Amino acid sequence: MAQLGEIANVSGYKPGPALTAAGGVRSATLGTWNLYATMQGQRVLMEHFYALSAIYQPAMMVMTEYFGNLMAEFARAIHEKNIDTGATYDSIMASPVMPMPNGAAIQVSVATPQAQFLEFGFVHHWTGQWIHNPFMMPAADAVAPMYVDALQQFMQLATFRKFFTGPASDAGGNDILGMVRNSLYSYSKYAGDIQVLGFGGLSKSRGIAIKGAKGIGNIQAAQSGTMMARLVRIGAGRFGGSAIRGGNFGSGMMTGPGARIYNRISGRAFGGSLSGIRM
Amino acid sequence: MARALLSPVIDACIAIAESTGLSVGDGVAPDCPKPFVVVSAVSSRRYDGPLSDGEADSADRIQFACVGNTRQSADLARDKVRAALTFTALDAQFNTNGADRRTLRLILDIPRGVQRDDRGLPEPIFTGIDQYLIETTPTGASLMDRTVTDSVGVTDTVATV
Repeated sequence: MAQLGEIANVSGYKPGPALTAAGGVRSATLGTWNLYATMQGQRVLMEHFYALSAIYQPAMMVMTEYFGNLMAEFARAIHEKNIDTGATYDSIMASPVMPMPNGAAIQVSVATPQAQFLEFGFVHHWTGQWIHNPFMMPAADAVAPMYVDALQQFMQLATFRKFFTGPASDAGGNDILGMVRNSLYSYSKYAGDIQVLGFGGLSKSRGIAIKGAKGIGNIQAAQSGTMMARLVRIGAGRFGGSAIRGGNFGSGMMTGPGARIYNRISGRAFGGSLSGIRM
Repeated sequence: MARALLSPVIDACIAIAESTGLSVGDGVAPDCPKPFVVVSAVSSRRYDGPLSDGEADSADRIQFACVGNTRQSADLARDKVRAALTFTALDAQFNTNGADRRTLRLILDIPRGVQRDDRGLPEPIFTGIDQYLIETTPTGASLMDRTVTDSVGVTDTVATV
């Protein structure tokens, strides 16, 4: 029960009536006792972990892309004071982010022959001085702790993290976190899951909740000037959802609540990457 | 307790390199014949705060560039530094300098090997480069007696339990 409460609190919403567990011992027949336990809100709990597993890869790609480009910017900034022809400066670039089986990777590179002499130093052939102006490794060392911290904070979503702090909050991480939270724990989604599972009578209240949420969201977006980003996110979300649903996910998740979960989660995740970084 | 406010790690590395008998330059080429070693700090991370903070861990990337007229002399210089740079030697230097630090990790992060440079030179120069990542942490002694200097220059000693 305590764990359920903790997870419910992660969302920022109150646990709600269905996040309850009960158990006890009941006498069945003479000399026989049944130990029983019931847990409502199990689906919400399950969604929480489905969401994390599904959103982790896209979110990691977003963060990796962000920090890769940040490292390139740092390297350019450090190298700027030593520009001669500008060829080295111009050649510092981050590759497109690449998905990996357990994560993501990005390559930050510099492409001129003289870059290695600047990076590791050399004896000047006229003056005999030691010239050493590193820029790639200092940039990597500056970004690495921020990158690791962002990923660690993202992993803590599964337990207690409510919002990102430090560098992770600059990486669009809070946007992603907000999407995870909102997509998992909003009342409309929660009620929808009950409906999918066969409990009737909630469609009306669910519809009201959805309308309310959309209305509030659009008003907020209009006030903050992010309406276009919101629309892009919505559009990308739908595309992402259909793409994943038609993809390689397990057959058990192709229909029913599972499909809804992936549709929802993947949509938010793809929308996050589009609106948070590329736009 | 006396505290080295400048980075104690680079100081310790220079002292260790000098203990090998080689000529050592602190970020510049020493005014002496080859072989020599140029020790320089490439980058420095502070995990928790400045080094003057008694609770701050740090990770310093230190480069040893061993320069010689021949591949053998550069390689030999590099090998001497590798042999001398140990946990024990670093901690001993921290003790000597009153740096109130000890070594957490010592990693040879980039062993670049000896490379020959012929560009416009009457004779080639061989340079062997090793970059070490050295993580240090306070010993904890400073937590008991910490000297604090505030923004207006008033120095006070704060006893912390």
